[in-house]
Formats: sequence, C-alpha cells, structure tokens
Amino acid sequence: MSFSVSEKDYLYQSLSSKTPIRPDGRKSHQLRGIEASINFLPNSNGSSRIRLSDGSEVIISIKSKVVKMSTLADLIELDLTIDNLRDDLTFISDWTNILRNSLLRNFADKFECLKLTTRYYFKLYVDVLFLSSSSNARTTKTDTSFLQNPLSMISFGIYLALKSTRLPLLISNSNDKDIEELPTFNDDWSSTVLLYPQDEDEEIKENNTTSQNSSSPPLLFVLSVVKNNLFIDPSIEEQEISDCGLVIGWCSGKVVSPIESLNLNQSGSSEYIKGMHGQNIIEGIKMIENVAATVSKGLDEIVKDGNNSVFMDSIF
Amino acid sequence: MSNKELYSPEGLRLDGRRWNELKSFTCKVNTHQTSSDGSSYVQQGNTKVMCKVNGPLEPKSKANSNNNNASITVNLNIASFSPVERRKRPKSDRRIKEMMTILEKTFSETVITKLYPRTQIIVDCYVLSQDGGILSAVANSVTLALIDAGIAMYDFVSSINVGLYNNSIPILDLNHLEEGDMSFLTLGIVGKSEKLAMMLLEEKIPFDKLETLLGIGISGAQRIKDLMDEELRKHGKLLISTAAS
Amino acid sequence: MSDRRRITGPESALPLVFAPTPNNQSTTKSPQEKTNSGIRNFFIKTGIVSNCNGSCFLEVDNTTIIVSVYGAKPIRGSSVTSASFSVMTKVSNNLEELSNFTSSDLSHSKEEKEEQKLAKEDEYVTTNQIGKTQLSLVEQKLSTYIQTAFLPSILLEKYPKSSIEVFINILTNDSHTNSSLLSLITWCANCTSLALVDSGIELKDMVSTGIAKLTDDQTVVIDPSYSNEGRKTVGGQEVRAVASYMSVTDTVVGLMIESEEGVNGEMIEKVIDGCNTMAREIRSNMNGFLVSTM
Repeated sequence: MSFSVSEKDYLYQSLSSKTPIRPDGRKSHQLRGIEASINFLPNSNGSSRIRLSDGSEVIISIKSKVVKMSTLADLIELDLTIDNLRDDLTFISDWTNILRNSLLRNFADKFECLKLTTRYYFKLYVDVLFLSSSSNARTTKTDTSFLQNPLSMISFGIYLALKSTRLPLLISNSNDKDIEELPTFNDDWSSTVLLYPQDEDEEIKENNTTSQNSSSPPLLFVLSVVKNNLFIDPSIEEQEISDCGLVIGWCSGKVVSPIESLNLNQSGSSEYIKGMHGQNIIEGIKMIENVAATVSKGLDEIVKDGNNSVFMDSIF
Repeated sequence: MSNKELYSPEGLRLDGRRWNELKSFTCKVNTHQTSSDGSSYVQQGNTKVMCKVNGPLEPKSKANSNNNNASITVNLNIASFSPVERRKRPKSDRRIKEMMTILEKTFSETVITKLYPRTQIIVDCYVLSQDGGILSAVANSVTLALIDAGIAMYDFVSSINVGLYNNSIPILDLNHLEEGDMSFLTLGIVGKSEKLAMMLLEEKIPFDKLETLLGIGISGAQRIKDLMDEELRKHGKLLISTAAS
Repeated sequence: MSDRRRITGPESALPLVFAPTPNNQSTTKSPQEKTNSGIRNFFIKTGIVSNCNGSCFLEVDNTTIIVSVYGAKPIRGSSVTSASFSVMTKVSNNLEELSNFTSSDLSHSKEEKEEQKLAKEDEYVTTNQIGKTQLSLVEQKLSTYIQTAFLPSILLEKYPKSSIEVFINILTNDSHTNSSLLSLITWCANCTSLALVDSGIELKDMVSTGIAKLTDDQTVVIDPSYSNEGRKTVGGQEVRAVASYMSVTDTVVGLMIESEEGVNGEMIEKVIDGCNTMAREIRSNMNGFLVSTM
C-alpha cells in the first residue's frame, strides 16, 4: 500500500492538474461504491454493515437500554473499535468525539423519541467495529500508517443502523410523575416501532411536512484537498498525498457542523500537508450540498429494502 | 422465566430441540476476498462468527519467527454488542486470552507448520453475535478460513460443546441459557476420526459421565465436519465452474 | 505520550506557575476594552519558562495560557526521516466548567426546564479528576486542533529522528462567563505559534488564528467575548468559527465551525472572512511584538 516517492509524486501531479484524474477513475464528486446490509444482528435493536471494494468493512450495532434520566448527552454512547488496535489511541477518541458530537447535535428532535416516561429514557449504545483493508500490512500493533480515515463510511453505517433501529413498544403509562412504576414493554418484535419512522408513501411525505418525518441521522463527508481540487471520499492513496482534509456534516437537507479540518495522513509525515485556501471550504460545502441528497436517498433505498424484508439471517 | 425448565419431561429443550440436535449450522467461505488470504463466516443458531486468515507471511517481529515451523497467531475479538446484554470486555480479559491460547495450540498441531518455516499465520476472529458455543463456532470458522487460504492441514478441526443436565442427561450444542445453567465441555476433533484436538472444560463433570459426553460430542462434531465439507465442496465446484467459463 | 525514559517528579509535584508580571510592553488600554479592530487586548511574553526550548505566556481577559515547546530532541532507536510532532494540553483542575462545552450545546432542545436543570447539575461528570491519566474531551479537542493546524507550518523533515513536543497549560479561564471552547482554541493556537518561534524550530510560516461569529442578523462579530454580553444566548442561527492561517501563502491550516442549525456557503464565507481579518490583525500584532523583543 505504501507508495514510493515517485509514485506519490505522480499521483499528486495527476490530482492537482486542471482536469484531475483519480487513480480509480472516479469523478471528483463521486463516492466509492458500497455494499450494505442491515438488520442482521439478532441481539441488537438495529445493525448495519458496509463494505468497500478495497476490503474495508464497518459493522455497526445499536443497542438500547432503559435508563433513568440524567443528561441528554448521556443518552448516546458511541464506542469505536478498529481492528485489534488499542482503544486508548488519541485518533480513535478523536474520531469517536466527532461522530458522537455530530449525532448529539443532530438528534435534537429524536430525544423526544427516546423519551419513555417522565423519568425513563432509552439510552442508545452505538458500537462501531471497523475492519481496515490493510490490517495485515501493519508492522506493529500500534502502527497506524495504513489506516484510512473511516469517518464517512462509519457515519453511513450509523445512518443505516439508526434507520433500521426498532425500539420496543411501551405498554405501561407514559406519565409516571405521581406514581413511580417501571416501564413495561410489549415483547412482540412485530409491534416494535422504528426510531426513524419510514415514509410509506411519497405523497404522504409531501402533504405531511413535519420535521419529524423528514429528519434523518447525520452524514459525514470527508473531502481531500489537492491544490485547487477537491475530492470526495478519498481512497487511502489519495488521503496520503492530500494537502489537507476536511470533514463536513450533512443532516436533513442542510450542511451542519462539524465542519473541521482533518489530518488525513495517519503516518505522521508532513511533507504533503500544506493547508487549503478559504475558497476550497466554500467549494467543499457546495459539493456536499449537491451530492449529499443523492447519497441519503440511496441509503434510504437500502433501508427500505431491508426493513420491508423479514429479518436477515445471514450477511453473506 | 423464573423457574426455567431447560429440559422438559417430553424431552424438549427451550428452543424446541431434542437432546442430540444441533443448532442450525450455516457457513460460508471466502467472504472477505480483498482484505485477507482466507476468510469464513460461521453461524450456529444465533452465534455468528467471522474469521480472516492472513499468511503465511513474513513475521512482524523476531519473536514470532521460528526456524522450523510457521507460528500461528490468533486474535479473538468478541464485540461488545454480541451478547444479549451489552458488555465491553477489556482486551486482557482472561477468558478471551485462554480461548486464544487454546486455538493457537490446536491449530499449530493441525496445520502442517513445518511446510512454512520462518513465517507467521495471523488469524483474526470476530464474534458478532453470541448464543452459546463461541469457542466451537470460532474453531470451526478458523478451520474453514485456513482451508480457504490454502494452508496445508492434516485434516479438519470441527468443534461442538456438550453439557450435562441434572447430572444425568447429556445435551448437545448448548445455547447461552443452557450454558449458564449446566456444566459443559467444548471439544474439537480431527477430521472424521475420534481423535481429540481440543478440549476445554471449565466446570466439574463426574468422571463416569465423561465418556458418554465425549461420545456424543464426537458424533456431533463429525456431523459439523460433514456440513463444513459440503459447503467447501460447493464452493470448490463454483470456483471450478467460474474458472472454466 | 508519556516518556518512560524520563525521570518524572514526585506525584505531588506541581507545575511552576509564574505570576503574570506587569510589563511595559503591555498595551495601555484597560484589558476589557476592545481595540478598533474588534479584538480584545492581549498580553504576551515569550521565553518565560527557562528549562524548555521555547515558551510563551498569553493573557486575554481572564484567560491565561502557558505554552512550552520541547525539541527538537532525539528519539533513541528511531529511524524516521522527519520529526514527530505532538501536542499535549492540560487544563488546570479548578476549571471545571470547561467540561460542559459539549453538553451545553444540547440544552437548546425543547426539553422541560426541569430536565435542563438536571442536565446542568450533571455537566461536571466528565471533569478532570486529579491523578487521571487520559485527556478530557476538551483537552483532546484542543490538542488535536493545534496538532493539525501546526503540522503544515513546521519543517519536520529538517529534524529527522527527533521529536517536537508542545505542552499547553491553561492556567486560568474566564470562570464567570460561559467562555467557549473555540475562543480557548484561538488563543492557545496563537500562543503556541509564538512559543514555536521562540524555540527556534524552523517554520515555513507563523500560524495565526482568528475567531468569529455570525449572529442571527447575518453580522460578523470578530473575537466575540462573552464577558461583554453576559451569558451566552443559546439557540438561534449562530455560526461560530475558528480558522488558522499561514498568511504568506494565505492558506487555511486549521478550521472548526460550529453551528446549531444548518449553514450554507455564504454564511461560511462571511464567518471565515471574519476569522481571516482577525488572524491578520493578530499576525501583525505578533510581528510587532517579535520585532520589539529582538
């Protein structure tokens, strides 16, 4: 995977030219194809798996637990495991923070859905297992130079998993202000409710323009900047030579925070890191505005297929 | 289910199986073509395990280099979301470590390691969902992945667990409820033989019952071997037919 | 991060804290006042820690920061072709309210007041405990930002087989107001920039950082100080941004934009322009300071 200096130079030249050519022939606003499936973990409320053609894979599980109300920020816990890497590495907690914050920020309406009674809430555990494509190229257990930035892929996975998440139906009284009682649930899986209700009909959606219906989990897009060119969803080779990285969030038809610069080069060498121009950021946001809706539509299509079919027994 | 009846007088278990019936067993090989040399996916009931094998390759460190044999490293990753109740295990969990050692030892014996001197074979296992019998499911998936990787082995290792209910009734292929309530042993056999390649017993079992348990376990494991063999042959035929066309 | 080869002091050891000495170089206006450009006055002094290669002290309003730079020093047994660069941030233990940066952003949701109160009480859960080893959320965010922003500016390939370590110490922070993480990042970054210059490590350019906010009525406020407005008004269409610049090539090396609502290119452009203006102003200030101390 590691390129020689001349190979990297060639790649840089071809990406920075006026009509850039990406190594895999993609257009600059074109994402890599994904293979996705949902609802395959029997012990989770929602689950998804996304694979890229380079072999990297992300498996996401959403589990819920009934908790007594503490703080809203405590209602979502996100845990990221990468290969067999130690989980106290700084970049892992960085990525966890970015993902978790983007979820918390764009979950505002959804905290209502997690509310069970005046005292009890559902707490969501989002567990992410990321298997990189190149775990065998690694020289030591702490060597991270072969790791690509997985933020975008993971956020797609979380999107799918959350949209396929079903929570049990509350059958006890939702108002327990006066009489304290433990919430009880209908234990039939077929009567569970989707965390993100699915629009059965496009027409209904048009008539019923409540925010509830149109809200979606956030998506994150990673952009790589090479001179004046921007590339969405960069491959690991492109990440390694990019001037600068950018992560842009998108939720329910709008660009949202985080909008942050990223260090895409995990190997720690800085020879290619140069920074970007202010104009790049604006262009990046425009690119996301153009692309994101299509992406979320595509993901919704997967969710629709998956949620309508019976429980998936196997992912293979 | 306060007074759970693991084995009804009619001879049925909680999930409707009889004492000697296996959980539904499905497996797939070559599931991760791009990211590994050999890979497999095994599903025994609700236990789902993924395995990737890389190697034989140059050892990452001198410590793993053996002049006469290949060294086999097994990494076991039990996902925190895999049990019914979410539980995050530390990397240094003793039970995981023990399982890793058992697997390493078993497969160092079964793989013809002398054919690959000074190399390392890395096996990564991921438990995605568990409903009893993790170790046996993992062992089965490792066998399949090693075969898929084309690594020379003496024979299959097929594995299953057997428990003893009420100190009298042997029960095959336990689920997680049964595992929690009775003592059981996990065994692995070589090929279609009755030779044991692997055995783990964490609790007590009366000595005079051991032989019956082993007998039942061995026949269960032989059945698993047949099922794996079937899948591999199917996969092989597919490969040949695609290569021919 | 921890260097096992180094002999660490006793556990009870405290970092040396220097009292901010009143200095003639300090501007004459009162610290609360803003300059014409809209930036709060700030006080800087370099070379304040003697046992490191470079250091800088910065004071703005009630926030005081010390940055010390160690390196480039050799790493034994390493054969990398360029230096490794790491940033470590430490927020003093008494600054507990810093921890609510992330959770306070949520309180705008339509929850009952009662719950908000509950939430407030629990905001301190993630605060630093004495003796903890892992960085808190705030410390980590700060470290990562500074590291990302300064990587392009340092000529790391000039220092093979060595490491450059930056330690940021936030001594005090505006404890009366809900000062934002972004503002803290801004000043830490500016302070780091001067500390790096002081250390004599070869740089491509100095990095200067600006902060701006776009308010409801689409006006840009540079260096928004919450002390003037009292408590931060949450909610509304507020976009806050921090951007770090290398002025010579006019490139953005670090960027962080926060907003509760959706944003568009126009808004971002405005707010980034605001950051740029401030960064330039800061840069000329720093240049002036460096020339005067030469």
